[in-house]
Parts: sequence; structure tokens; C-alpha cells
Amino acid sequence: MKTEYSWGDISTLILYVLSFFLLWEWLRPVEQITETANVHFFIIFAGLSLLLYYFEINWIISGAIKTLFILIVLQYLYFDVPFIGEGEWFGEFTSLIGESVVLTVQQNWGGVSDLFRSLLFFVLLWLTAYLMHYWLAVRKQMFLFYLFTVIYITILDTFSPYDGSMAIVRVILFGFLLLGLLGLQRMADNERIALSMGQVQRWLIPLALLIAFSSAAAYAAPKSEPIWPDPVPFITSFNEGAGQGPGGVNRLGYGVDDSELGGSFIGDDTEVFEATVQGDQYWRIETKDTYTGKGWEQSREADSLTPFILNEPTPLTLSEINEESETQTVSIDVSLGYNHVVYPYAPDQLIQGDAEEFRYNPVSDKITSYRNDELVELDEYEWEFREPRYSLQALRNTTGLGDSGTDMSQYLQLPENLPERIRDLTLEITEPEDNWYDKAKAVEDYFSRNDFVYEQEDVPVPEDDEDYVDQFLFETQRGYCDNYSTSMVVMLRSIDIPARWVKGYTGGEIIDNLGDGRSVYEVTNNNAHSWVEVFFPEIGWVPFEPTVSFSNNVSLSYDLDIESGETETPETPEPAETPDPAAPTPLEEETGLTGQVGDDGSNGTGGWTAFKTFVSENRFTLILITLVVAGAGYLLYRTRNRWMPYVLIRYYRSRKGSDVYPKAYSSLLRQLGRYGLRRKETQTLRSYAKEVDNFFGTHEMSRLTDQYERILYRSEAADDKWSNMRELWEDLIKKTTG
Amino acid sequence: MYHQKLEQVLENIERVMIGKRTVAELSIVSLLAQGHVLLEDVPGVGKTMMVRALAKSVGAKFTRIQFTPDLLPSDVIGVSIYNPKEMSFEFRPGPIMGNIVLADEINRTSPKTQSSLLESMEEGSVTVDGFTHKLSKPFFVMATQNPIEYEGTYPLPEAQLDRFLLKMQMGYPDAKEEMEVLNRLQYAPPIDELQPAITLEELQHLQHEVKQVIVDEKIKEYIVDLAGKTRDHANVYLGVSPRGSIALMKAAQAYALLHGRDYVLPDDIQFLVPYVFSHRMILKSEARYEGIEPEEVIERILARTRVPVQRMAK
Repeated sequence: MKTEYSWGDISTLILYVLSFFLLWEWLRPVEQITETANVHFFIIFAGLSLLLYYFEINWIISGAIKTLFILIVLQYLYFDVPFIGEGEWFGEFTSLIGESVVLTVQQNWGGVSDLFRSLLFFVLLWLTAYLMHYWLAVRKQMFLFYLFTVIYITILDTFSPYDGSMAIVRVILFGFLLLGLLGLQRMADNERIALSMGQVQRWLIPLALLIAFSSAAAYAAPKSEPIWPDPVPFITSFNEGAGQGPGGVNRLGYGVDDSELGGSFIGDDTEVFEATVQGDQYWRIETKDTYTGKGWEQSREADSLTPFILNEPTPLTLSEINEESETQTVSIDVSLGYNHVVYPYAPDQLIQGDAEEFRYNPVSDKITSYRNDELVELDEYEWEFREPRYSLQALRNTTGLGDSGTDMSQYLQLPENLPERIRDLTLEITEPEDNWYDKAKAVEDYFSRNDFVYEQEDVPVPEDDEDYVDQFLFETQRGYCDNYSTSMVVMLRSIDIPARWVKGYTGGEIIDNLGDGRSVYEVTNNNAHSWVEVFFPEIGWVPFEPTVSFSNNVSLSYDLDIESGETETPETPEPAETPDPAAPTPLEEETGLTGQVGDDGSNGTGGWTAFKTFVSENRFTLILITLVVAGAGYLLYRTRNRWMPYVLIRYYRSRKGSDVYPKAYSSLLRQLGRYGLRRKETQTLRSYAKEVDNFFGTHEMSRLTDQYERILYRSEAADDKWSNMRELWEDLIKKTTG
Repeated sequence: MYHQKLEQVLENIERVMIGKRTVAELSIVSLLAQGHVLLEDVPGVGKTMMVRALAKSVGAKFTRIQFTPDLLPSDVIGVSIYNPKEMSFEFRPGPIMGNIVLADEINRTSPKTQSSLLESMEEGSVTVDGFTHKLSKPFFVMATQNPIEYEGTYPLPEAQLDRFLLKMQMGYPDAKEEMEVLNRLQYAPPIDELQPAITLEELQHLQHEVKQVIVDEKIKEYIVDLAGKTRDHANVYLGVSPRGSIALMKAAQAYALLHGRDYVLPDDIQFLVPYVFSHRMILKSEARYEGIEPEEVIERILARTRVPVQRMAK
């Protein structure tokens, strides 16, 4: 009798323990992502099953033990009466199960009792444990299970709140140890040797060191941030809405409270609405006029809201509307409901929308929809509007408020304690210019000329004694739209140019091109944006876009001929006739696609845009498909030895002709190479054939080779050879599948 | 059919020469390819026996020339003697006028005598007193050379070595084979019982057949590749000449025929290269000091020359 365990036994035990840990990793997330409690019973059951398999207990006994365990646990969890003794729990148990089986057959999943689910889960675990035992003890291959474990953890980590960052470390540690040990056992089995202590140590110590070292290195090494935005906010924002909370970490999207700006943003792909319109434009929601040093507030509440209804001119005029502009329509298909209405610049009238009344807030420029005097969220609405076009000459003629008499004091407001250096800087920037427009342009361009960085993460919140604009301009110089737009407004105000802060959305991404020149734009929370409007007494409010890498397509009329002294040509705007749909959205910023204005290809071919849209819409599906395909491809590649011969046999079976035999022979050579019998290039076919025949204990290869040599070196016709040699060939190539 | 007869010749030789199949095969290859063989070995390993067995098996006239320092060319090729009865000179053929000639210890005679033999080997005829006498056909010389004795020898110049198709060593038999040799020779040398397995006419026919053996372009390329590599090799002072490539092709054809094939395989080439090439290469002196042999160089060249196994693109 053996008095001590051999190393083989101990390593087998280690294998079972490791695979138990792997199985455990499957159970860990269950408690968090489903409503399953008492997961420890399942874990114990998994361990028990594996233990029974390890001791190779007779299946009747082990089956009985496991059944008993399941019954005790189910009884403990679902019935109050003691297990043995009075209490007719077992009868109730069986009837519950029977009921559930019936419900299952009827596909009435909701009605199935928890008891039955738990039972099924136990059965699933039982099967899994058996499968693991089979892989460990019989196949001695665990890679598939390991791969699936990794995929399982990564998918859960990505798509569910489960945090797999430690789980993946554990899986790597246990998994590689398991695979390494299993590999050793497999080799020992193949070579029919009993493992000695020394051999196991020689294998195990470097293996453990290697895994420990690489895991430690991988754990300590800096990791690149994920390229795709975290989808969890995307999933949850459907339930929760978006854009709440001042300071700290904000979620991208439209929010109401802007009193404390700063902090990081999390990207969010949730669609807000789809706009069907001719060109890309900015969508307005509201403006704010009072800068507090930390953020934006409204100077006053509106005394009254101006009501208007469908097909009635909108009581809102931002600027003089150029009569040349064509009337366009835009239909907005809302996905994320709000009770405000987004609108383009120069809206004429709402021509469709399921509300009784709309109300316009003259202070904030916000339009809200009402039904029965209650705020209501619209599913869709349609605007008629005209694209505003500003005369460059008129813009440049503006050097002051003049005698228009408009009270602009609220748009010149600045906090008392605004640092002086903001004004100094602005004066310095605008010093060469003499009119408002060029001054505003100079400030707008200042950011991109001075390497300000667009960033959504690690944007600091100003300290109590710090000014938001001052911090951005002089310290951090990186941030997102709020930083840029607020800074520009404050800078302009500091040199007495009336300006205000506007909130809304950028144009979004084209997802479909309609035939009539209109496109469908998808606007997501990532498109939430803020920008600047400057007041020109002759013209009205003109939008500016200071945020680096963003561009708003403001149409300007080039009526400059009379100003011969003006050599400088305006930089930003494009000719008015062709609305340029190319404005990179924050999303593209984030995915690193492009940082250049107008370089996202959407102004080029529609196919590319459609493709991009398709990709960004279905990216998670695509990733999943890619993963699955890659996994399947890898498996196929790994196991090609086993299936390739059958493919080859089928392929060559029906073929005829003079070149079939040489081709088939070459395929055979390659297959043998994959099998591990590779011919050296300097080896003759004949000596190679002898080697192969020695290995398989046949003469088939020599016979095949003899015929091939005749074709090759004697130029014999190969026509009839294939039919004669096919069986031999099939025989031999089948041997390589074993 | 002829193949079987050649097999029989081999068997005949093997009955006399135990465990020397390679040497026997190579000798027949050389005979078929109408080349000559240089045997380099110590005395007493059976060189003479080998040649005699071969001669007997093909029913050829066997002559032997024992080269000594005082041997004269006329002792080899023959001499004209005045016949008083007929009042004319009459040619008395020398020992070279046989079918199979054993030129024993060729390096012990003077270069003048050596070259008389080698030139007649090359030309297939001898000229004495203005008359050209054809050598008999088939004509096959097996020259032996003792590698140990250097005292009073005249080593064959490299250019002369080139005239031998093959160079080979006999080597000692192993213990078991040597026992067998003793057993067989205890009573009577088996060579006396040998019967010819093939006639001279048949042999000549086979010599003609050899030329018909197919040498594929790929095989020729392989030969040229190998020969070229001997010329480029770092250890080699003088590589194999085109005559060496021709020799290899001819030998390969004969070897293929001996194995009943009418086409040459790369295997044939690989087998023959050392025997055909080794005496046609001169190694650099550094290599020789390092103890590198031509055979080793050839082995290395073989180990890095691709065997042609794909059909050429048409």
C-alpha cells in the first residue's frame, strides 16, 4: 500500500482546487447582478461536487450525497419546518416543483417559483462540475473553459455594474497556474511517465514565478484608458435621465443647474433626439446672463412667459432675419423626454407638436410645452426656420452700443471680485482690433492659438477663493465647452461688449441621408454644449464658438468690397451656400478620431458617414461579434489539425485532372507539418517519407512519394495517379487527426 | 531485366566482400558511367579482391599493375618489339589493355608513369611508335592509393585526381563481418567459384542505357547549386569544376539505373556528392590545419541546400 500521496495525486488535487476557484468566479457576480441571495450555498455545492469527483466516488453514492445536499439547502431556504420529523414539507416541495415544470413548459417564466429556479441552478452547477471534471481528468484540457471565464468576466465588467478588476487578476493567476499544471500532466500522460517530486518542482517553481512576476508587473504597470466609453451610464441613463448635480463628476447632457461649473464629465451616448434637417446646426435651449465666478445663474425670474401656439410666429428674434434665406423645416424626434423644446437659430414657427400651448421665457430664451397648463414632454415636433445670415460689413461696423437705447447691463454683468488680469489679457488680445466683431473673433481664436486643450476628465473645480474663468485661463488651460464659452463671455464683458452664455446641443452625427438633401442627425448627451452669443445693436445676437475643435457654421455675407483697406479675410466661416455638416462632436474627440475641424469625413461621401454611423450605433454588438468571431477563429485555428484533413478529403475526393495528385501531395505534406512531422527543406522526399512511415508504422507515405517523385523527376503524367493513390492518401491524412 | 543482372553482380561481390555493399555499388556505378575509381585505403582491406570479384562477375579481362618507383610508362601501356621473322615491329600490349585494370598503389610510381596511365584513361587509347591502339571496351580502372605511406610517394596532382569519377574508402569491417571473412576463407577463397552474372555486351549496352536515364531540370539545378556552393564556401580554396558537375550527373544516372529507375532522384545526388566531389575540392590551409575534411564541407553544404520538391511554374 502506498503510505504517501505521489506528486501526481497532489497536483491533481491542486488542479481541482484551482478549477473550483475558477468556477467560483462564475458565481461571484451572480449575487450582485441578479437578485440571488445566499450564493454561498451554491459555492459550497460546487466545491462539494468537485471534491466528490476528485475522490472518484462511485456515481451512485456521490449522486445521492449531492441530491441530499440540494434537498437540505432548499428545505432550509424555503421551508420553516425541520428537515426530519413532522411537517409535510416534502409534499409541498414536490408539488411546487411540479407546478413550476408545468409553468416552464407553458413558457410562463415569470410564474416559476424561486424554489424551482434554485433547483435548476443546482442542476446547472452539477453539470458544470461534471464538465470540469471531464476536462480535467479525461481531456486534460481546460483552455476553453478558461477562455470563457475571461470572456464572462470582461463582459460582465463592461455591461453590468459588476466590477471585475480584481476578478480578472484572480482568474489570470488561478487560470494560468491551472493551465500550466494541466499541461505538465498532459505531457506526463503522453510520455507515460510518473511524475516525481523533482520534476513537478522543476515545472512548478518557474511556472509560479513566471505567473507571479508577470501578474505583478501587469498589475503595477500603467494601463491605458478604455477606448470605448463605459456603457453602464448609457444603460442606466435610460432609467435615470441625465445631467444632474453641480460640481464633482458630471454626466454629459443637458442640465439645469450651472451655478457651479467644473469637474470631470463622463461620456454618454444616450440619444436625446433625432433631427431631420438640411444642414448641421446648433440647437438652442436657453441662455444665462449672470456669471457668479463659479458658474451661471439667471439675473431674475421672468415676470411672465409669452404663450404662443402652433403656426404662430415665435415670439423670439435673435437677430435680423435676412430675407434671402430660404425657409426650411426641421422635424425633431425626441428620444429622451424634456419639457423644453430645442430650436434652431431664427425659428419662424412651430408647425407641428402635440401640445396645446408653448411658452417662451424672455429672460432665459427657453421654450416649454404645455398641455392643460401642465408641463408636457413632446415625442416629436417640427420647426419652420430660416438660416440666419449676418452681414460681415454690418458686424464690422459695430464699435459700440451706439444710440440703440437697448439696456444691455445684464449682459455686461461681472462679479465684483473678478481678477483684473482677465481684463488685461483681453485688452492685450483685442488691442489690434477696432470693432466688436474682430475683437470677439480675436478672443474666439485666442484659445486655439494658444494650445488650450479640450479635455473632459480631470478638469478641476475652482477652490472657494478661485474664479472659474481665471483658473481656466491662467492655470489649467484645459477643459470642455463650459470653460471656453464662459471664459469668452467674461472676457468680452470685461471690455464692455455685451455677451451671454448659451446652452444647447451641437449638430450631432449623420445617421441617415434622405434623398431630398435632408439628413437625419442623431444628437446624444455627448452633444450637449455651451457657446457664446455677442450682441450687435444693428443685427442682434450672433453666435461664437470658442471651444477648440468645435465649429458652428455661421453664415456671413461677404459684402466687403468697399473696405479696400481690409486685407485680412475672415478665417472661420465657410461660404454661405453650402452648409458644412462637418462639426466634430465631443464623441469623436473622445474616441480620438480627429481633432481637426471639418475633418471627420462627413462632408465627403455619404457612404463613409453611413458606415461610421452604423459602427457607432452598433459598436457593442460589433465588439461582441468581433470577440465571438475572433474566439471561434482562434479555436478553429488551434484545432485545425483535427478538421483540416476532412476538409481536404472532401475537397480532393471529387477532383480530377493532372494537377490534383501533386496538389493533394503538397497538402499532405503541409498537414503532416502541422501534425509535427515537418520536412526539412534540405531533406529529400524519400527520406522524409521513410521517417513518416516509421512514425505511423506503414509504407503508405513511401508509396505516395514514389508516385509523386515520378511526376516530379520523371515528368510522368499525373492523370491516373490520383484515382490509384486516393485511398492511400486519405488513409494517411486521416492518421494525422488522431 | 538488366537491373536484376546488376543485382546479381552486387550479390557476387558481396559473397566475396562482406559488408562492403556501398563500395560495390559505387564501383558498379563507376563502371556503368564509364568512369574510374580511386580507392584510398590501407593495405589488406580487400581492394584487390573487390576488383577481381567485379571483373569475374562481368566476365571481363582483369589485369593488374603494381606501381613501383621504377616502373616505366612502357611497362604500363606496352612496347613495340622487333620481330626478326616478320622483319617488322610488333606491339606487345601492356597490362593496360584489359577491361578492368587494378592500378595498385598508383602514388608510388613516378609522375611520368602515372600520367601515362591517366592520359590513356582519359583518351581511351594509347599511342606507341605512331600507332594508336584502342583500349578494350569496356575499360575500367580502379586505382588504389595508400594514405599512410608518404615516404617515397608521388601524390597525384589535383588535376589528375579530377579524372577519377569517384573516390572512396574501403574501411575496416566490423568484428562480426571480420569473423565472417575468416569463416569463408578458411577452406577456399570464394572468389574462385564466382560465375559471370552479365556479359560484356550486356554491360556495354547498360553503359549506353545510363545516358538515357532522365535527369530533370530540377535535379540539374540541384547539382549546379551544390557545385556552386563548393566554390563559394569559406573553407574551400578551389571548388568543384563543371567537370565535377558532369561527373555527378553521370554517376547519378548510373546509380539510378543500378536501382532500377530510369530517372534520377535528389536522393541519388545526396548519396553520391561526397564520393564525386571530395577529391575535386582543395581546402584552404587554415581549414586543413583545423582538421576539416572535404567530406565535412560537403555535408554542411548539403545541410543548407534546398531539395527541389515543387514542380516548376510553367
